[in-house]
Amino acid sequence: MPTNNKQLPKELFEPIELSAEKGEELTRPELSYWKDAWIRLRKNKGAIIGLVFLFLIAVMALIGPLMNDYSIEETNYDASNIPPRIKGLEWLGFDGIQKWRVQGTTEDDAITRGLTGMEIGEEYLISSKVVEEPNKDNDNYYTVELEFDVYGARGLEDKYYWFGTDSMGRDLWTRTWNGTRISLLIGIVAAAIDMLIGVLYGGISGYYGGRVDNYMQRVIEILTGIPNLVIVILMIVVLKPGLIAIILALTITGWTGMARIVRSQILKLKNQEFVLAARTLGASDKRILMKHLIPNVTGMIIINTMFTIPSAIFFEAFLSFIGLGLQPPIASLGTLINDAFKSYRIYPYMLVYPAIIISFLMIGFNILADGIRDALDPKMKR
Amino acid sequence: MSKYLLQRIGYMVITLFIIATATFFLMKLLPGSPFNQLASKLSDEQMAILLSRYGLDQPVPIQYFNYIVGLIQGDLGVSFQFNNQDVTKLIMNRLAPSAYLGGQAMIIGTILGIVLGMVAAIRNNTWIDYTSNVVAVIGISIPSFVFAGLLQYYIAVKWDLLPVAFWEGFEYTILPTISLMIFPLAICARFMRTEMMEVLGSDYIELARAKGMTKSTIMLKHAMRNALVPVITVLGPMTVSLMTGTLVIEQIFAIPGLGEQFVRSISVNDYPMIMGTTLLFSVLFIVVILIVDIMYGLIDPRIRITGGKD
Repeated sequence: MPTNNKQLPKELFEPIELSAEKGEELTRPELSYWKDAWIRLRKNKGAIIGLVFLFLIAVMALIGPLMNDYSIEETNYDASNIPPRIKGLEWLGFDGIQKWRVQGTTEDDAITRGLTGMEIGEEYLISSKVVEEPNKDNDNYYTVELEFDVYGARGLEDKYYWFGTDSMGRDLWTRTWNGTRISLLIGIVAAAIDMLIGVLYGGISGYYGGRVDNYMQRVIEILTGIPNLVIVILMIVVLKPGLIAIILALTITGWTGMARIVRSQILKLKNQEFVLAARTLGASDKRILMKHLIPNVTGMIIINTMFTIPSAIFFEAFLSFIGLGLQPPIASLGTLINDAFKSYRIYPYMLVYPAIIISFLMIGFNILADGIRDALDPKMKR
Repeated sequence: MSKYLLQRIGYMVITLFIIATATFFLMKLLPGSPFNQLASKLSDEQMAILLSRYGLDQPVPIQYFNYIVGLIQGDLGVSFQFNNQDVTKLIMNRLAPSAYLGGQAMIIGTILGIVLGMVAAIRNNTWIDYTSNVVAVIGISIPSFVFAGLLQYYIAVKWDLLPVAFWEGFEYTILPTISLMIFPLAICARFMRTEMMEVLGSDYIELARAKGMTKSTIMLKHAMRNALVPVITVLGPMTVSLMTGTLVIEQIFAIPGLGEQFVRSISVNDYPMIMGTTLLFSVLFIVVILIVDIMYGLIDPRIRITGGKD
């Protein structure tokens, strides 16, 4: 804006009409609550990064398994434990080369042992280097690191496993994205059920108040006293492990947080004039609750649900990790990580990709949820 | 205050009773029996002797009664997987590594988190603030077992800096402690930053500054003290994360602790062990929540715990 005011001729100014209505006129475009929130969210760099992460992961979870010809169950024992290789991306480390450490009395002895042990012809050995000279600590053995071309040695020159294969020769690219899909599904379904129960329970408890509220709150108080870790584990131990059992176990106490939030909001809102007006007009309790009260709590409900999804995904992965999760052949990110732990010292690629994806998924959900909270309810900013 | 305390302890007892009852009956619903693998090798008579030895031949209500009476006396029954040993004793034997690890992670994590959060608030919108924010998001988001796995692979296996697993001395505790402490650190840093920002914007800080106090006095004496109070509330989620953490971290680093034993007893249907550990976790959680509520009221007189909280 120029600071030195231009001298404008007087004729350019004309008086505007003065009237009472003009004073009330809105000169800016009207913004709904949601539009306003969206504008705030868009300014939040973190939230947008989270949204992009989630979008990419969700798209890959949908189309990833279709991008090659392998299925999640298809086993091929000739192609077990094969490191990742991608056409055109060899220079990024996706070159299908396996590193293997062997010990021997001499350098050559170690190499021979390695090659016979892995049943690999000498022509597929790419390089070898001594990583540890003989010393007292390793009983005077040479430790040699071999690098060899697994694809060639197994006769799979024309195949490309983008994330490698597991110990049963299943394609990990397909399994990882399929697992992502299942993890997302569990998170979203569990959060949706939590939301439904929590909103109804909290709504009824807050709206009716009095004795109903009192009893309903005591139930919640006792339920929240039980660590949900314990409940989830017990439920899974009792139910047959599977998709439905996991979702059930996650939702059995998961809804209490939502119920508490909805109740306290409803308590605040129910004595306001618009509720009184609705009642005067003869609206039923159900209508007041569903059409007048709950819509006013939508912001809080969305915020809370956004935080429930990552925690459900985490719990599923955690259960799978301690062996209480999904049963094969279905895989989730948690079961993939659990499987990878058995041999990740030799085959780290099995652990790395699911671990990265679950980390980005969780980070994405958490920062997006933070952003949505700041956007929908700026007062609650943390 | 005493009325409130009594009421809370009453709830605690009810909750524990419900947990004990639910655990007991859920275990009874389980399909497998601890003698499943032996069933084909044993004659009916031998099986009957085994069952009566563990009191499993009696009707369920009597088993339940015996169990509750035992509980009140601090007796959690005998473990099925370790010949006839008391569950209470087995748990006690395993408690030390878990408690040590949990305590170490909690103390270091909390202190680092508080310092990080405070510095981030004082140096608001600088690179320190952004770093602290990133650390907090990562710590809250990444599951501890993923983090532990990556740490173990890079630091222990690949670069050979620290031992990979087992429990033989201080250097063996470093990696598990780091994996466990990332969540307390993150949540403390985040909470402390928010509280500190709020306190720094208040009138009494302005007054202290107007009086000409040095920056360090203002920060340490006025701001930090007040900002620390609400941080107590994160103790609840922290306990849960430590309990969840021990289950997986002890598996990964092969630590002979409670969590490792619990996971094993689930896979072999050792009911008394599952029930005992479950109860211990529940007691721990409930007591921590109670302590948090009481401490909160004692430290900050502005919060009255006698009233209803909505």
